[in-house]
Amino acid sequence: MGKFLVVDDSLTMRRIVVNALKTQGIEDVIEAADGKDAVAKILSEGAQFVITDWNMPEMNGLELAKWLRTNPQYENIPILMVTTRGNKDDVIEAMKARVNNYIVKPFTPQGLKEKIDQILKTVELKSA
Amino acid sequence: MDNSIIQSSQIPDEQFPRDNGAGSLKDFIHLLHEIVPLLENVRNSIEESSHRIPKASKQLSKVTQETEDATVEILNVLEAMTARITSAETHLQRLKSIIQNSKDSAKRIAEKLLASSSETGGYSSAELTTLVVNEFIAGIDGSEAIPSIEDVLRKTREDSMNIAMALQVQDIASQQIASVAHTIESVEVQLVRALNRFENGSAGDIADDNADETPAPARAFDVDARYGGSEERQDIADEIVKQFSTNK
Repeated sequence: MGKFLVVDDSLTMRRIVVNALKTQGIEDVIEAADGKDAVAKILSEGAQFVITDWNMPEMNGLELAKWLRTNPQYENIPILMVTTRGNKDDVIEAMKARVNNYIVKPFTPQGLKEKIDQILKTVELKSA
Repeated sequence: MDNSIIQSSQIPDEQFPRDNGAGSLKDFIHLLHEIVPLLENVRNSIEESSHRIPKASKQLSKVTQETEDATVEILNVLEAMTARITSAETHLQRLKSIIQNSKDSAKRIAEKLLASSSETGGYSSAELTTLVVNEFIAGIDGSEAIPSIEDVLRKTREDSMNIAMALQVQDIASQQIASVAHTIESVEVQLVRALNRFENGSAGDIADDNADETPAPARAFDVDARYGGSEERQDIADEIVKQFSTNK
């Protein structure tokens, strides 16, 4: 499954997401406090799956998604947006930035698992 | 405020004959005399409010910090609980394995006893031994107790996970607080601007009203962040994601 990167400026949220991933057997997880930190972590440690919040200082989640998609090395990296922003326009904007899926906070571990499975299934189908 | 205006209102009435419009001037001066203290009160209120706002913002930041600290403490406890549940589940698995091994070895002993006894032709003591061993196996059978313990552990694990998930409220509440704090800070900017206008006169200040001097928020936030109703919003999001996936 590879390394997961959890990006959120809230320490609480990072821990909640990381714990939820652990219940799914996903142990290889690194964390970043905002988009800028995430870019630095991706460049230095690499990641195969990004779970990101939207509202963050320095570089927000949408900007991070756009950065990844314009970088040939990371243009296909799965991105799951987990955010409080649940307006229609927000989701459309995120999808236009080519995030793979979208979760509105607060989420459930089952909801997170479903979205990760959906993304991984699509990625597998594409690479098959 | 220039007190000379107030003093000029003390001019006796006879110096303002009504036929040259001086009565209106006198009324105006009287009006000023009444308005000036009111304006002074307004100015003092604005000044006091503008001094209180930074304190209010600080208090909100403190609330956010304290709730985050408390949430981290709760998460620490929950993670420790989860680790203990995992440890208990591991011990339980080990116990199940020990019981199974004991049963298997007891069965083997019984079989050997029976076999050795049949060679010598004496069955009664062997049959008795087998009976004892079988009773022993029945005694150590944890088939009822162990699943119950496993069920309790599973439910406790689920509960601790649900508590952890509910702590998402801290992130959402802190965004709501950040939004309120930002609004208060924006009001502070307006109050300070109004205060400056009182003290320095209004010339040139109107143009500044359009200037965006609102300070950057202390943390990034979603103005519409809320804890409830995420299911409906998730359904809408899922529908949009589906549409985008179909159109690819």
